[in-house]
Amino acid sequence: MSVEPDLPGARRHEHLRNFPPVSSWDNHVEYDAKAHPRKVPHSYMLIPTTCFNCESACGLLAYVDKDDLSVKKLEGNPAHPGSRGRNCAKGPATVNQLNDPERILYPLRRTGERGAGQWERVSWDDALNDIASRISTAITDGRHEDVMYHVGRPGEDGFTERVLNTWGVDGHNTHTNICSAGTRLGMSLWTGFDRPSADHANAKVILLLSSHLETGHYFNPHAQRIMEGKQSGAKLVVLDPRMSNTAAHADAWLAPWPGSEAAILLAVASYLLRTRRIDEAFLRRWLNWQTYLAELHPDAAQDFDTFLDRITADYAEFTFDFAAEEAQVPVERIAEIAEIVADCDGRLSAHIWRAAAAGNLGGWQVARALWFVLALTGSIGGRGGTSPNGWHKFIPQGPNMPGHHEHWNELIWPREYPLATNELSFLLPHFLREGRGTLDVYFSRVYNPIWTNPDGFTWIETLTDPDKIGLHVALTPTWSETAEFADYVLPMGHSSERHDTHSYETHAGRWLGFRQPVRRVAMDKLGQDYTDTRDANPGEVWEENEFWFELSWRIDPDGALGITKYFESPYRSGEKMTTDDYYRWVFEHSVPGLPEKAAAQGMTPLEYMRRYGVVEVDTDVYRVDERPLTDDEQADTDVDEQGVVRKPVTLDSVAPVFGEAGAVGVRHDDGDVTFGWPTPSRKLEVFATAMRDWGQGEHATPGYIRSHVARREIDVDAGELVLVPTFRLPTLIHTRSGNAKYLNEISNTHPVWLNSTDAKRHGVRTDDLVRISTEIGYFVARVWVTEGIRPGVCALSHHMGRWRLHPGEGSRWVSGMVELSHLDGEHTWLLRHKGGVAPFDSSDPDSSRIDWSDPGVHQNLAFAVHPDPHSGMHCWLQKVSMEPARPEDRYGDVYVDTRRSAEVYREWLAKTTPALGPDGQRRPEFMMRPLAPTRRGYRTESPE
Amino acid sequence: MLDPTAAPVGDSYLWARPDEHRREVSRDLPTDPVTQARTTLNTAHPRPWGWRVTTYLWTKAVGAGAMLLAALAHLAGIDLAVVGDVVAPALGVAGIGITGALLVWDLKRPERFLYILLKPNPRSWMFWGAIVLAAGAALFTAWLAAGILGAPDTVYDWLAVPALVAAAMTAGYTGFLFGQAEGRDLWQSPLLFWHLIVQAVMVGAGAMALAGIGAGLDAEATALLLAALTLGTLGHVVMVLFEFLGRHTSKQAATAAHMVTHGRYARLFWTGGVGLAALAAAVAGTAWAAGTLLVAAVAGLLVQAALLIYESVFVRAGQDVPLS
Repeated sequence: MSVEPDLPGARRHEHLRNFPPVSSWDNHVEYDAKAHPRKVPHSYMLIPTTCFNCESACGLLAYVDKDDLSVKKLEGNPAHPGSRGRNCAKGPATVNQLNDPERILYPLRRTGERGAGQWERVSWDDALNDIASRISTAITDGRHEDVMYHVGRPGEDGFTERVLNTWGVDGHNTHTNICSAGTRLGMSLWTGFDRPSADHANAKVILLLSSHLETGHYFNPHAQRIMEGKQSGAKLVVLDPRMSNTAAHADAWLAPWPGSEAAILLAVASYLLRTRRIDEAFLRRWLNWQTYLAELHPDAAQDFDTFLDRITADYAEFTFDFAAEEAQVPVERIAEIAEIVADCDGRLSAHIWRAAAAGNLGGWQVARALWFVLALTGSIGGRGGTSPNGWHKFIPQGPNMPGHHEHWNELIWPREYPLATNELSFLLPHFLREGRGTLDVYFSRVYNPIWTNPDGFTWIETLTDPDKIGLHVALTPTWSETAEFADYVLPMGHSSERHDTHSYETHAGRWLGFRQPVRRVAMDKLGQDYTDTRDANPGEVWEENEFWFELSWRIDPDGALGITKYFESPYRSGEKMTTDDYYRWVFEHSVPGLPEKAAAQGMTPLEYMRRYGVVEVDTDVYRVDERPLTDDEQADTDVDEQGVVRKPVTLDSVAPVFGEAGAVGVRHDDGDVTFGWPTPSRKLEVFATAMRDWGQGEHATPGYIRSHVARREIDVDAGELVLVPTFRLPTLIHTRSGNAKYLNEISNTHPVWLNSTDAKRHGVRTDDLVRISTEIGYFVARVWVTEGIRPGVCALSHHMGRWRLHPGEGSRWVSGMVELSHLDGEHTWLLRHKGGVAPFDSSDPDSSRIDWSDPGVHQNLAFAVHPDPHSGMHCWLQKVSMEPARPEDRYGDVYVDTRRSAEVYREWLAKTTPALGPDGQRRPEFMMRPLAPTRRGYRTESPE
Repeated sequence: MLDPTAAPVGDSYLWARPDEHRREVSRDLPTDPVTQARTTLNTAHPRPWGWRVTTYLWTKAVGAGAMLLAALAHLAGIDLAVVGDVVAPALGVAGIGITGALLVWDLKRPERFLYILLKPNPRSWMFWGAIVLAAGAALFTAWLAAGILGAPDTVYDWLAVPALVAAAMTAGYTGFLFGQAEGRDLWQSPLLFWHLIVQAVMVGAGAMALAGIGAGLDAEATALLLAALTLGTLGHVVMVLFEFLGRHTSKQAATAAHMVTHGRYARLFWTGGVGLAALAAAVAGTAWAAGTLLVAAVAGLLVQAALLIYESVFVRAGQDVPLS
């Protein structure tokens, strides 16, 4: 029978509790606050779902009014082990997004030219049939790669990949190379996993190369654990050129010159090696030190002590003085940080995701250097240390999984970047312009590349060319700059209006969260009929999962393409799969422990997930690398000369999410056979063999690549500065939060941070307008003089600078009307605001109370693409020159020459060394690849 | 204790624009030389009290001051003739009437003004102030009626002391009301009650001096008005200087005073508030020495402007120091 569960986020104080008890969630009564002092009761159903704003996937609890099914508010979900009932401002602001009077309620089809602002309402049937027909024809014609799905943040792990695999399309494109591909490469080379999972709560030293305490991935779940760590005595070390709130909480804050971070970390590593304050037992067992010696010191004795001596000598050049010179900070500060790290007792939790790794040429080496320090201190994988995300994340499998495709889409995975962990999505317009391919159907899914990506005007030029993109379908809850240039704008639901699952490495445990349409769940509980989620959402807003089911069915109506069978109900043969079918199957068959937990409360697994919105799969997950292999795992295996335990594979085998196909573990010198790491050697690779095998051997070890914005590259006296354009606000998220009025009310401007010494040199004061010139154009912004940023560096936050071309095509809470003109020929673009944000009349009286006016500056338009030649990561930091605004300049102006941006693209492309690996492989098999093909797909038809 | 003055706003918040009032105020707030701390986000807190409060401080000061002098003159046996019998109570009634109207207008819910009396809060000087004003209005009206009807001296004998007390309280009770605005440290001065009475004497005498021209006042009456105007104005100037240049009981009060004497209000304060009053005192003193109301009338006009300007600064600066 049902018992009151012990929830991780539930707290009590005397007779008070922070959340209503679960037993009341179907009928929770609250008085209407606005009716006070009268007592007007309302009955609510409290239904959990998952936040859709940042990637943390924190739990939310929706208060659904039983009278009219309106969502009154959203709070944290106390059942969620990651967020534990807490949220940042963006979670509760979901209610703004639901009730936004400007949201898109019906499918729209373009009637005029792309971008001309002419639309007609269209039925879902018409839209689906049109899109399905094109995709079906492309598949039938063998033009699989003419179909592309381009997602901002990934949705449900594996869901869309499953759909695309049924279509046989290698068309999964993500934004990752403008986000985190630098860190992912640095970490993948070490561990085979691509994300860190820091155990902040149990750390002795917390090292952040970011403003992670206030923003970033898993901000809310991590922030609460960082504070727990601090309360337990952990020292917080922060490297950030900007005095963020995170830096303000640090015991040691270093504001290095951008791009010098790897030098600092290598100086710390060198110190650890010199002083032998290292975990020798860990290094001996887990580093592929034999390979290091064999490759770099083949003539030396091949033993561990020699390795230590040689690697110490190899890194001796990274002195504190060297790092201090690169970082332009006092040498004592480097030494101070090194001493704090050296004293971590194997409990160093460290995090980098974007920041320096996403900003600099060679930024991936920052992550590589960081994991070097983690390895030396023995802080990898243990309590209070840093683990890989793969240990702390759970990915369920759907029913009737299709086989993997055999295609290789070079528009997404080009040969120039064999080691890019993710898709070269931000180069897509350049690839299309070079004639590398065309797209017949292009889905942009809650993604806004015109705004978010660098070089947005080139995106506009490409998206408006029907010869390059035949049909552009924007799947989005809100208007965006990119949706303005779509052929179809199809409204999809916000967090409480859709189904999917999520799991992230918020701490040393594993959980699976369930996002669900709360009104639909309430309708279920109240016995109300509906056909699909559209009946529960406003207007004809849908959810993607049902959309993909329906679209797939229509692509292959008679089953001839072999697609439809994957979208049949596992419970009703021949009938179309519903979301209930899908998740019922997943929760019954694919989540360990869930059926038992549900049964203990007298529920089915699906009922359990609808009740709690989450299930905890594991707790205290550490040192999975030391897990002994079971007999089953060792059955039918061979051990290669490196000790890697392998099962036989063929070219039709498929690599797991992480690691090589067939590799299951490693045999150690002492005879232990353990799971190890999903690298080629199943060890932590201080010498990355993949770099060697793909012709980049000079960067096989942790190193320092001098950034394109290194101190010596910037002529400060000539008016040059480094621009940091990537830092985030805790209260906004990319372009998703544009329609959240509460968030806009508190965050509605973004001045350029400029140190007083730079301001004096440039002769500007706070609120002065400046023209900031990049290599392809300029923008005009407003200055804020502050000591909160290091001299020589200026910074302009992310999120703002939203615009719309036509009335009704953007959120008036945040965007301004603009006009685009071509001053110096068609290849030149000037964006100029026609007015800022202003009060407007709508069904929400708050829209007439807008007291802010600044739409911001769309700086990313003026950035050329900077693909790192190794990781493919866009290097966001900009070398700029600053001058007072000219008489013709207006605030918010952005001017760009796209011919020049094409030149810069070619300059950076020329830095690459296209290469195939062993056996003609296009990229290393062990590295995680979304929508991975079979091993055959990795190989060129005729190895070169 | 959290001290909002420790981190002034500066020219901009981090992610939003401060309201113009907070921006202007912050320019007068010192930044911490070590931390250079700045407030990075706040909501707008407009001053709740504006021109209506400034104006009523003046209107009731004029009315109360006039009646104070009329009652004093009667008790001293000095005949102010029509100025004392009609003009003073007329000023008193008009002053309280306008004050009452401004007070009601200034309420958030003016239609509920009767709640002050019908649902009284005896700990609030809002309530006691209403009682004082009502009593003053009744006594001044009676005085005016007596003046118009030519009532015998006995009536004035009965009215004089109560009217004197009512006039003093009408002028001074606002000191207690302001004192209840805890957190507005500039207004917490123990001298405020007395200062308001001195101000009332100044502007009341000024108004009566104007009215006295051609009223055929005798030398004694003239001397009383000139002395009151001169000494009241001098007293006001001295008290202002003492209040603003002396030591303050709290950092917040000192910050507000500094804003007045050296900051955004300095020019208005020194020229309009203090300078005009000092000039008026000099003119009034000269007139006193010469025994002429004609010259004093100029001072009578100047003090009205000086007090309005002073009160506008006093009311605004008191609310400018951020409480959050």
